[in-house]
Amino acid sequence: MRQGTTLILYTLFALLLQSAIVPLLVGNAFTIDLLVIYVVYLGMRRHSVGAVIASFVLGYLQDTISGTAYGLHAFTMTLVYTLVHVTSRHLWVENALSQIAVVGVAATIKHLAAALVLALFWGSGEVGTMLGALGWSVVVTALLSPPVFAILERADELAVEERD
Amino acid sequence: MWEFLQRNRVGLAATALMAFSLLLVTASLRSYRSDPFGFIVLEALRPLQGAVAVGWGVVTRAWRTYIDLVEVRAENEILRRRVAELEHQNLRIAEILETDRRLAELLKFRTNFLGDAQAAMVIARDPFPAFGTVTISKGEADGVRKGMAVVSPQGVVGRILTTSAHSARVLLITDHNSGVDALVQRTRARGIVEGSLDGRCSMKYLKREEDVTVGDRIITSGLDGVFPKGLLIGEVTHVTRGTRGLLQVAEVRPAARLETLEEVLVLDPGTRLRVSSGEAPEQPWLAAPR
Repeated sequence: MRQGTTLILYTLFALLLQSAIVPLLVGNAFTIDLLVIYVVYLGMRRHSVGAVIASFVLGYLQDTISGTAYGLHAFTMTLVYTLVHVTSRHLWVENALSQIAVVGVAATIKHLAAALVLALFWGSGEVGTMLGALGWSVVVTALLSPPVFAILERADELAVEERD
Repeated sequence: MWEFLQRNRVGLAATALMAFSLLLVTASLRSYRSDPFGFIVLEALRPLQGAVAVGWGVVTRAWRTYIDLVEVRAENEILRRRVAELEHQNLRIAEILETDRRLAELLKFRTNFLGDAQAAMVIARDPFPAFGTVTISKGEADGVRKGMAVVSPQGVVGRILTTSAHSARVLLITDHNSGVDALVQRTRARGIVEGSLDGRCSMKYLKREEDVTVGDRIITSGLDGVFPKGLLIGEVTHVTRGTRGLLQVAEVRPAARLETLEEVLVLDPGTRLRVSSGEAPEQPWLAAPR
């Protein structure tokens, strides 16, 4: 129950941040993708079909507020989850620096994958647009990952305590 | 088979969902049909997005108002300083113009005299009201000597009382120690204009039978050896003629504005009015004496 509430509130806040707050504050300079941080967290901590579906849904929710290609972010989020899930057994992601690095790589892959899909369906003209927003968005999102990870871990701990 | 599916369920689910995603992308690129799920999400986000936009608007407006106020305050301060500066400048310009006017008047007045006449500034006044003296900016180094006549474009001021190297004290005609030999311009009646302790002037030693009336002009007679003949001293404001005695007294209002004197002319002994020599006077009151 607590986990579900956390997920809904987190998703709402992430969508609001991405669609309303950040554009008001910094315009189109960059975006903060809190959802990709959550997907990375799921990829490292949850190895289940439910987590895959959650990643897909989070991506699809992002599609509802961004662009006209429904399924684009659903695809990239599922891809990010899968890659993190596959490599998580070989990664030691416990300190802030490693979290920043993993989220940075994941966010870069997400952008590159989106650009690739768009190039595949729309032609290469859109790739530049997608990659143009890559730099600062990846950096800012990666830098935010340690506190976000801490919040999500704390929420999980509280959920376990509640269950026990 | 079941075991394979169980073991790779996460990977298979991810692959299936990615394939489904790509199908969705393909479908959405073919037609821009609205997505019912997206509709719900947008509806859910709308009030929050609206609240953020409104809140942001309030914050930015408040911030702009604050910045505007700060700017207006700073601008106001600058303008206040500028106004004070301009007022000061305006005052200085008015003062320069006024000084210029007075000096031009003095210069014009000086042309009425034949002989040396020096312009001097009044630099100090007698601190006691009972005494009528002022200090001027010229002294012995400039040729100013005791007893010289001091005049202004309006009329007689007084005579030099004491001198130092670079300044001199002038005994005003209103001082009770002052006496100027004078004539009633209209009737040529003679008398002495003296000052008093209350700062007024009166013409004394006028014969009782002389015709003196209010409004008569009193001029210097030139007989005291100090003032050239024909300079205006003042105007009669009141005549006192007692029932007995041989004399009458006329109160005289000095023509020179002694309380506000700023520049004066110091006349050398022997200086004469140009009008006495038959030339046209610059000032109308310097009418040729009979």
